[in-house]
Amino acid sequence: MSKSYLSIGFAKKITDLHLFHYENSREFKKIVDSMKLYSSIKSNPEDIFLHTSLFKKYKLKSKISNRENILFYSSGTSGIQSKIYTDRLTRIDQQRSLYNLICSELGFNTKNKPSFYVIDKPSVIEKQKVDAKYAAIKGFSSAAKGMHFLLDEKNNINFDILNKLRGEKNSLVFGFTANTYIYFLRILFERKIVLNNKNITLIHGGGWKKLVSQGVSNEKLKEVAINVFPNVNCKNYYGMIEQTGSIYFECDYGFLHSNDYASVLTRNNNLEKNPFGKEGIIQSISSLPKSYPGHSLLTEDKGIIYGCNTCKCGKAGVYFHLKGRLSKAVVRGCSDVY
Amino acid sequence: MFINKKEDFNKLLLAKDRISSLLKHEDRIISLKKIATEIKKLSLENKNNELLAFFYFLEESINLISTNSEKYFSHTLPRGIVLNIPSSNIPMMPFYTWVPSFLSGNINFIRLSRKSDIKLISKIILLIDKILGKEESKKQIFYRGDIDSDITAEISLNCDLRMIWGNSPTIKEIKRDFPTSACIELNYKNRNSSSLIDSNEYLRMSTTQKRIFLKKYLNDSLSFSFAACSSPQYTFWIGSKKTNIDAQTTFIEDLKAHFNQTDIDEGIIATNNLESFQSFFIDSNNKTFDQLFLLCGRGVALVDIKELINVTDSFLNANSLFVSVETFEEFIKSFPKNIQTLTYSSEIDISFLKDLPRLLNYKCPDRIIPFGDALKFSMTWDGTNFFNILRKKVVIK
Repeated sequence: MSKSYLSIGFAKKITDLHLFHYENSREFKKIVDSMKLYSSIKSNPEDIFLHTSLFKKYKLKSKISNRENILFYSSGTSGIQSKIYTDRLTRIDQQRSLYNLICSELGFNTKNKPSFYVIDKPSVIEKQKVDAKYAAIKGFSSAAKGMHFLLDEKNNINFDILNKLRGEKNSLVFGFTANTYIYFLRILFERKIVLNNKNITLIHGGGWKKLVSQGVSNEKLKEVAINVFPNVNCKNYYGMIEQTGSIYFECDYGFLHSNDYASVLTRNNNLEKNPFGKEGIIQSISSLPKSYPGHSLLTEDKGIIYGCNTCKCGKAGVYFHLKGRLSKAVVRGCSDVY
Repeated sequence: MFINKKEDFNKLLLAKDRISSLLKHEDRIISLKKIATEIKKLSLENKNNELLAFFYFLEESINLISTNSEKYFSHTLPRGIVLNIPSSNIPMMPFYTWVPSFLSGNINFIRLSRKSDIKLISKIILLIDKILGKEESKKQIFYRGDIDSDITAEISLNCDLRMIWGNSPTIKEIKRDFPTSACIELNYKNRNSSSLIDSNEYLRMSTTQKRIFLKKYLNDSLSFSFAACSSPQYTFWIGSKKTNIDAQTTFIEDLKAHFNQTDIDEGIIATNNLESFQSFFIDSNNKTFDQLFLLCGRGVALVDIKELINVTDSFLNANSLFVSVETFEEFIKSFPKNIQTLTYSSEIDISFLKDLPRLLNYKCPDRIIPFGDALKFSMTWDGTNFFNILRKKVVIK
């Protein structure tokens, strides 16, 4: 049976955002009108969603001011990058929300800021373009102090920086999942290097495709992380550049969770809402995007939602697992030749 | 042979004066049989459906040729050098276009798209090379189109036949960027297809029969992606007004039930369909039809023949039509142009279908085939028999 997973308060925020984007984005209005969904704005706000790939094809903006605008780009693993138009206010909201999420999730505060270590090369933040990596590193750095890069430009571990990390009393280590495992954890594990730091948090997010193809699961990554950092609090997260600031953290029981800023639901192949427990296409809804209509997006990720407010970890909201990307293998037909 | 670097290619082009396959016709069939066996093995090892489909295609091609050799190959010669430009999103397309041309005894250049699965394709090419032998494999050349556009330009100027499989804008670009002096060029432009269903027949079907019927429809429509030119963007329902509405409504409900249950791995079709659907509405100022349903992310519009005038090609990229007709006369009158394939349900009067070329004249589809057979590859495509094109006749007076 279909069921709305959005709390009344969150649904109201999404309704307001729908109305705002309907008034201010020509493209969003056209889609709502053509799909005859205007009446759903208030009654079933989750039933209005855009396909994420539209950000690759169109300049989707909503009444964006001309000052201090920055374009965010997706990683573009499929060849074409999404372009996200952010204005100052949207970015402030996104930074503030991410800060709040990190603090409430990891127990940091302004008096208790950990030192920040990035499992990547320094040049990753020297790019002209703001991409998913850049946005995530900058976002996480707001809840920590300093910024040290654990890899050199050839993706080898910088042992001087690693030794610096060894001496830290409170640290936040952040990396993209594949880099974290391939260039960092696996190497340290193979060399039997152990860092007995107390108060160390390892946050990683991003695609699993590369690791899954190597037979590395989230459990395996955690196991290796604990071998390297016996006292580590290791957390995976799910997020996308189109909804910067509202990410889904993994709880101690291994489930990703909705939060005050974002929620998910899954849809079947007819794009109807799935009941709990059934695998489907993930729709991610965020209350943050204002300068562009990216607040309700149908992704190409698969997942299962297990319930709402019933996770053993005690957190409110829906909790879910990611089940990878939709397979592209079934798509055929007449096409271009390039 | 797989060419990955321009330097390797130049050496081969110098050998272009040797313009026919070294193998005898019988040996080419034997080689293909060996290739088919290896492809079957590979498909089972890799659990790859595309490879399996290619294996079936090879088997069908071999059977067709074995029984029709006399018809196609006596008193004709290979065309010479054939440049094949396959479309990018059918993974095995480079081989589908190569097989008939190889069977016809031609030297082949097959341009691979940068989007091709090079790892898998090079594995297959290696397997083909091993079976064909060193000398013959030098005459069956698969090359990456993105290594240098000069390669395509040079072969275009020197080939005897060029085959372009792609959509209309692509064909236009290829023709503009790479002029050819080939005496024959086959272009497979965008086409639409249609289906004719007897509404009463559908309503009378048992649950099992309906399930089979639905499966055939999904097969014809490429799992509802409508990505093939033989997918029926137009489905004509013939019967009284009420019967048509009942049949269409039941069929839509059956489709919905199917999409609610099917494997999530087909979800990419739903999301791709939705992307096309939303893009269509962003790009166009078209008014939508009153009765437009979203099924698996694709629009399905229920229309009568008067509304067909509002249908554009861009609409058909993202939507399908269920058209209600009461008589064969209405069907003939409303039949659209540019239809490649017409599939028909089993109770449609066969004598009417046989009379269609006369009734529709130039608008007659190239293929009129039973419901469920739209994807079956045929040696006659877009009204042209491959073997008549891939071989040439010599006239001596």
